[in-house]
Parts: sequence; C-alpha cells; structure tokens
Amino acid sequence: MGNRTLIPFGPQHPVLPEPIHLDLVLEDEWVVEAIPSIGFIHRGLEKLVEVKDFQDYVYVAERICGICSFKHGMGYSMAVENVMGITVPERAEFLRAIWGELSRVHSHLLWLGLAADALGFENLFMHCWRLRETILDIFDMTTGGRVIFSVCKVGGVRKDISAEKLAFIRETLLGMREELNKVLTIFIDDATVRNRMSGLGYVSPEDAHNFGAVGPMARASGIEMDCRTLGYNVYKEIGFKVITETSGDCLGRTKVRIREIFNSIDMIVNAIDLIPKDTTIDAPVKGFPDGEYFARLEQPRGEVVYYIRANGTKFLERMRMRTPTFANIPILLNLLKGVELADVPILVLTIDPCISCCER
Amino acid sequence: MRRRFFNAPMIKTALRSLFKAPATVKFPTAPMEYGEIYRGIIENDIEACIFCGMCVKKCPAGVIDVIRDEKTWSIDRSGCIQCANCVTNCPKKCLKMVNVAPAAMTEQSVESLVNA
Repeated sequence: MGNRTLIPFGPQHPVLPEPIHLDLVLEDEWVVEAIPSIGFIHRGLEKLVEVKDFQDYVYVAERICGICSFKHGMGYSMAVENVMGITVPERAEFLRAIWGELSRVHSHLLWLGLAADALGFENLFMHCWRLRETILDIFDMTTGGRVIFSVCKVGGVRKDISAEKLAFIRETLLGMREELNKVLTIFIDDATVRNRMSGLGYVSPEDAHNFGAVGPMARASGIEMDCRTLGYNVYKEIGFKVITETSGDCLGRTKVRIREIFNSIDMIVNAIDLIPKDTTIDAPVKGFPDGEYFARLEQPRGEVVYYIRANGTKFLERMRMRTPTFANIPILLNLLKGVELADVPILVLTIDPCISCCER
Repeated sequence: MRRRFFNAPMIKTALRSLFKAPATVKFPTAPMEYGEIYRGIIENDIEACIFCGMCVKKCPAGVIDVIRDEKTWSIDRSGCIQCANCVTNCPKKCLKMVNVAPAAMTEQSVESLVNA
C-alpha cells in the first residue's frame, strides 16, 4: 500500500468552471475514493415558486441554467400544461422542437470545446466554439437573446419564426454540416485525442444501469435510454433516432455527442420542412392549476424530471426537479476509483456537469 | 505513426484558418451590432404612463417601482433580467424594449422617471 494523500479538487479549478468539490483520496498517483460535496451555488429557486405567479415563473425556470435554459422553461411549461389540460398548438410544438434541438447542438459544441480544452487542445477548442457561435447568432435572430431566450410560456411560445428566418436557419445548418464534419472528425480520427480518451473511464452497461446514469453517459454504454422516445413534442415526426455507442469510455461519450449534433441538425431541417402554416402559437390559459404532474424530458445532458403540485391558486404549492448532473454524480464517483490523478479533470468533464442546474 | 501525424486532420483545419478572416469582432473599436429583436434595455414613455403598477406586479426580478401619487416610475437596471414581461403586460403599451445592451456601471443605481 502506498502513501495515502487527500487532494481537494474544486470548487475552483482551472479545468472545470463548475463549482463542484471533490475530496480525492489518493494512493500514490491513483485515486481510491472520491468524496463529493455540492451546495456552493444553491439559490433557492424551487422555493421561489411559492411566491411567483405560475405563469411568470417560466422566466425563473429558464434561468436555472444558462445552457439548457430553453429546456428548463419547456419542462416547467409542460408540467403546468398537463395539470391544466392545455393543448399546445402544433406550430408552437414545432418551434419548441427547433429551439430545443438548437440548444442541444449548442450545448454539445460547448462541451466538445471544453473537452478539447481539458486535453490541452486549444486550437480544437476555439474551432468548436466558433461553430457554436453560429447557433448563438440564430438564437439572437429568432428570440432576441443569445443564451436566455424567454420565448417559452405556459400554453405555447411567445415569438414566432418567420418563413424567411426558417429558410435562413435551414441553409445555415446545412452549410454548417460540412464545417462540423471537418472539425468534429478530429475528435474521432486525431491520434492526440484518441490516445488520451480511448479506454479511459469505462462504464459497463450494468454499472450505468445500477448507478442510474442518464443521457449520453448511459447511451455511450449501450443503454437505449432517451426521453424523446416518450412521445412528448413532435419527435416522432421529425426523424429522431436514439444514438448509442458500445465502447462505454470517454471517446464513446464524445462520439455519442457528436452523432447527436448531426441527428439534431437533421431533426431541425425536417421540422422546418414540416412546420404547419397555421400562425397560432399559444393556447389561452384560463383559471389556475390544480393537481400534480411529473414531466420528463431529455435535456442535452440527459433526463430531467419536473414535479409540480398546484392547489388552485396562482401560486404553485411545490416544484421539484431532478437534473441530469445530479443523476450522473454517483456513476462519476464510481468511475473515478482506480484512475490516475491526471485523468480526473477529463473524467469529471465527461459527465458534462452543470452544477448550476444541480443545485438550483 | 509518422505518416498518421502528417495526415492529422487538425493540421489541414489549422492551415485553412491561417488564410481566413478572424471569427471574432474587434470590440470595442468595432461597433457592436444588435439584432432587430435583441432584448436590450427597457424604456418608458413617461408621458403616456398611467402608473397602474402592472409592470411592478409582473416583473420576475422585482426591480421596477411605481409611486402613483408622485407619478414616478423607476427601474434598477443592474437587476433587470430583460425578459420583457413588463412590456408584454403594459396596458398602455408605453413600455418598450430597445435593442441596445445596458451600459456598464460601476455602482448600483436606480433610474427614475417623473411625469411632471
């Protein structure tokens, strides 16, 4: 047995801009145990639901996280709509799908950039973020915000996208495919990335299942788990495919995210082709919600669960959410056992941690 | 291995980038361009405002304040989250969102408008 050392990792760390703290118990260079502590940025947003009008709370829900902001607003709206029995107009559903999938492309490109940065591959990091900028410009053009959109509302969406803008988005994304192909093949083909990520942080399908992994973390281990198969929104019509890999390592998780980017682009193009011409984008909201509901949807990082309980007043009684990062922390702690200290940053990054979501 | 290194796709991408214009903007020397519907700062046409207080009720961040007797409407711009909920709910449509980002500030201050 070597010398045991305790190394604190985070909440501020050069590689990881997320405030998670891990106490790493090392034996020489090898991690034998990782003890997490979270709660550095708890903001009490779930409690705020008791004092904010249920329709205005969408703005707060969107601000839970800066990357999956649209999906947070959508998840909350879906839960309230189901309690109140509101049917969202079809065009609004398509618009939600377009913005939701654009968010996925932007989130995955951000992650790929951060992963390249964690490997010390600055050039690749810059290219990923340059491509992500195109998506942010589309958000700016269609919603008025680059990160927080404020377009989702209970009963539909606030803003429509004109036919010219939809055509522009279609052209931009089809043109971007070429660029993405050139840049993202580097992750798969380049020896620098391959040597660093291949075989690192293996998660077996049994472990992924037993530890309750969600999102690309589970799909990279061959588990076909994606909430978009549940039938919410219009995913059945726009060519959604569950992307899985079987390698279960860091490279596998990277590949899942890369292939999801291309699948999302296909879905957006299909949604633009199929979007109904009817201009109704929101359904009227009458009365107050009464009842409870669990809404499940797939964020870029994995499955998110929204629970709401309403009592017939304009304030909800309870809102609770389970975010993908929280679900992926147990599997992270498991895969950290037995790795070298130098591999810890890329492994923590591999679950795509969003502590802002995790702590609300 | 040597051959693989020279076939590395990153080298092609990096060389291509050498002859392209930079993707970034030279801010602040180059002017910032805002989109048509960019959610910027809130402006109030104080002459048309009836001081009903609807914007105060609807503001998720609670940064707008109205004193009806003194005909004063005020906003703390550092706390504004630019959601435009006040603009949507304004009954007189005197509130509007201008497509300019809020100016940088060194200290928190509340901007007040009075209908004299």
